[in-house]
Amino acid sequence: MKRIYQATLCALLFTLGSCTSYEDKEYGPTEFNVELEGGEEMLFEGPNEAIATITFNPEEYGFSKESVGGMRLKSITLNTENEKGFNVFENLKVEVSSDNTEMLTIGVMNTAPDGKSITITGLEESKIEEFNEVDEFYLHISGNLTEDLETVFAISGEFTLKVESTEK
Amino acid sequence: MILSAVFLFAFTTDNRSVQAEDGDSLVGVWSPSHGKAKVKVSKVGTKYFGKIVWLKEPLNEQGVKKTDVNNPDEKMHATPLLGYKILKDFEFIGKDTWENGTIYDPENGSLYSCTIKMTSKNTLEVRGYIGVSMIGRTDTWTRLEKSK
Repeated sequence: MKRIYQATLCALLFTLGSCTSYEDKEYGPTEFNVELEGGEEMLFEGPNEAIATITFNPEEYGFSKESVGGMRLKSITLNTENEKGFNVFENLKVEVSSDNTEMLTIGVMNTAPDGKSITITGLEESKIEEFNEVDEFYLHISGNLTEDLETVFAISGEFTLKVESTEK
Repeated sequence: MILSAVFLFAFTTDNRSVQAEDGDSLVGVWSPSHGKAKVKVSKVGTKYFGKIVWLKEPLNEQGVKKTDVNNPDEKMHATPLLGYKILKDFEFIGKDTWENGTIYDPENGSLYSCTIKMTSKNTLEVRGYIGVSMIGRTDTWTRLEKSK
């Protein structure tokens, strides 16, 4: 009888534990500036990437880090002053990595981008769990250039994350 | 006797410092044994990632650039293979070994746990597996570019 009671209690605690109720909070918009990594003012046709290092500080947006669960990208806007704009890319991809979580693709644009300002919507199903363990993360913006560029390709932008929080 | 002890200490200390720096020896461009691709490994934070930077056959049968058509996630089917990160999240654990990462095989759309062991300055043993490391496949990769 005692064993049945203990097993029931364990099952109840497990169920309660796995039913933590989260609410989506917006983290952002957060601004960043990056340059495509490459040679000295020379970028080659093919895969290229820019990596922004972002400090994760949810307190800035009104909720505590301890309350955080998963994280998704809501949207990211990229701007460039380059005369050819983003038309020199055949695609763009946004990934997040950190020292504490696995890399995940959170946004993709598989059609050729157009113009000097573009917005990519986050992939709803791409969620990074346990984002509360992250102090700093890396935003990887990558794409394939359709031609060589004899220039620095600077990107400014802002992103907004949807972060799960136990705080109401 | 004292001299040999000092020598032994110096050797051990020196060896340790070389090993500590060895994590970055993975950085560079590598070719799997099939020679169909070149993979550039770089370091971000404390981890190592590798992306496809060259394909022997960049176009599919229709003459269009190859994309990730075998990915179980349909949203990735239009993503170009060129630039694709197939090595992710590797951590250097010492003894010329990087663990806790994954390798993606675009030919079948499968993701495997992976361990990388540097067997010489210019060769890697890349072991992909599902579940336990004992059941898997090992491929030898060759360095194409000096590490930085």
